[in-house]
Amino acid sequence: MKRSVAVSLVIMGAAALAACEDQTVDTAIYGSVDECIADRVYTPEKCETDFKAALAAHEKVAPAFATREDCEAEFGPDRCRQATEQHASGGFPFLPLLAGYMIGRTLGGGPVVDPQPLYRRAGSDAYVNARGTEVARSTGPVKVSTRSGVAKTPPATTRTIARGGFGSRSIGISA
Amino acid sequence: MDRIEIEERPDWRDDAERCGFLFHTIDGEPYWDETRAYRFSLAEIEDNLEDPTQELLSLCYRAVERIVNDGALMERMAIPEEFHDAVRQSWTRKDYDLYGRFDLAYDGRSPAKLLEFNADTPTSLFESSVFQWRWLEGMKELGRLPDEADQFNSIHEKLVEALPVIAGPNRRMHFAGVFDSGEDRATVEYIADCAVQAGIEATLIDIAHIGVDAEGWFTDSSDYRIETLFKLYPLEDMVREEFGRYLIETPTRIVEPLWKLVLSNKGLLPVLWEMFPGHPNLLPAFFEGSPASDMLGDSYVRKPLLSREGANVAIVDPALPGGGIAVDGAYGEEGYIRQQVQMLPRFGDDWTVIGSWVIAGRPAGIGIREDRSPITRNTSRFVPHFILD
Repeated sequence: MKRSVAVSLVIMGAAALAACEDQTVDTAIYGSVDECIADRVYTPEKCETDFKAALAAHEKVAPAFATREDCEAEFGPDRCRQATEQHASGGFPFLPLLAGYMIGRTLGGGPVVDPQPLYRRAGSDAYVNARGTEVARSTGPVKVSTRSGVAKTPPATTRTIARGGFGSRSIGISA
Repeated sequence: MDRIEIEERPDWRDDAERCGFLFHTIDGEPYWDETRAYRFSLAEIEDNLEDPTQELLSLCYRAVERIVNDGALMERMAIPEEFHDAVRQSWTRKDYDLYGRFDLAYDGRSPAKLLEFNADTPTSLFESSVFQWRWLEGMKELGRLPDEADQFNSIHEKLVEALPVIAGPNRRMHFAGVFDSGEDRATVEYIADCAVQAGIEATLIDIAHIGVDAEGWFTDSSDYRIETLFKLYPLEDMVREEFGRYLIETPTRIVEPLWKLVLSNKGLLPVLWEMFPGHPNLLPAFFEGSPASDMLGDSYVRKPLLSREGANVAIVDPALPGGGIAVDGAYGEEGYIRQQVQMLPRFGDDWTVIGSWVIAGRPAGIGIREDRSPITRNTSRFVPHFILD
């Protein structure tokens, strides 16, 4: 056969022609490498590697606040400190302390859930990722939808220094 | 290969609009035209279109290898000098490309001849990939075409396969274009749609809203760094714009990559002819002003190095009324090439060109355009095809 077996659209048009599959993947969140190893679901190597990946992402993508007060209002007293490495936003803002991490999962060869840093929100004490999306209320196994905001590390925000330097050709290429 | 008259699906306009294909009629004139269709044998498709497409692509890759290592040639192709190293590095790094469309003159008898390669911002993707496919399925449901009828069109599948490779492990991409143009926007949305189906987080952004940060990353309207940028916007314009200089060292991956500057340029055609003279799928072509271009005499097609949708293309032939046929446009200041005249095949009153798609380095299907004029333009009608032995 020389043609596509199926042609679906999920975001175009008034009625997307077919919905696309959303998969649920088993993963887990842990407060520390030791807790991960003690749980005996993942190998000690996996526990360690994913923690390092989460830690590396932490100072770059953690929610950033200009002042300690703003940060503590969201994450609670004594749960914030100033960044020691330059944050993706350009400076050295106040960040919540790393409270745990999520184990990354792959499926069919590709990553579907990233290992990523987690924080605990003041009040509910829920674990949230750097995007602020709640992952779980306690550590241990958790199911994550591959299309949810929880599955992936958020992109780093930055400081745009100039805008509008493309697009002087105002008509489209098909015009 | 022949063209048949065929009844259109009664509800196709509703179907088009449901899919977001709103430019099926442009200024009251049909753009999508299913009152007729082209029929091919499987051998015609595989031996005379698919294989030559793969072959032409491999010739193009060899031409890129040569051009990027020849500063004088890049100069001649009007690639700004400050980009020569970056173009070469982009090729040496094997920066991923997504797609391109060869325009071929093919009449079902003689070998397909390459007219040009739209390697950077090819249009008519959605209609080739989706709406043509839906036409075939619909015609089968109506019993107007037999179940065994096929189509050379795996564009959609190949896009969904290729995009995750391009997006890389972070599975995030931005999709930019000129959103004032409904057609451009729909094309960008379609590619983003394929990306979402492939599990990629897709963000749409108007090309004019792109920013840049202190480290040279391009940024979106929310100040997120753009890791991979698909842009439906000509590279040759981007390198000449204010942010063009950031393209040289940006960590943002751009699709199509900079090395496509070499292929989306009509200067490719004389280079191909010089490297592979007499190749059955190539036409003689020369840089205007080079001594060899006199070989074409006083009858030739004149094409600007940089041009789209037939703009500023002229057929020069003293045998034609008025000495030829020309299409207006705003291109040409960078120079011209001359190509041997190869008139398109005619079916009834129409001149027919075949757009042969390449996705991630593989032939992926065709889309056919027809015009009452021998030069195909952006208003040329899109006509579906099927394969039936």
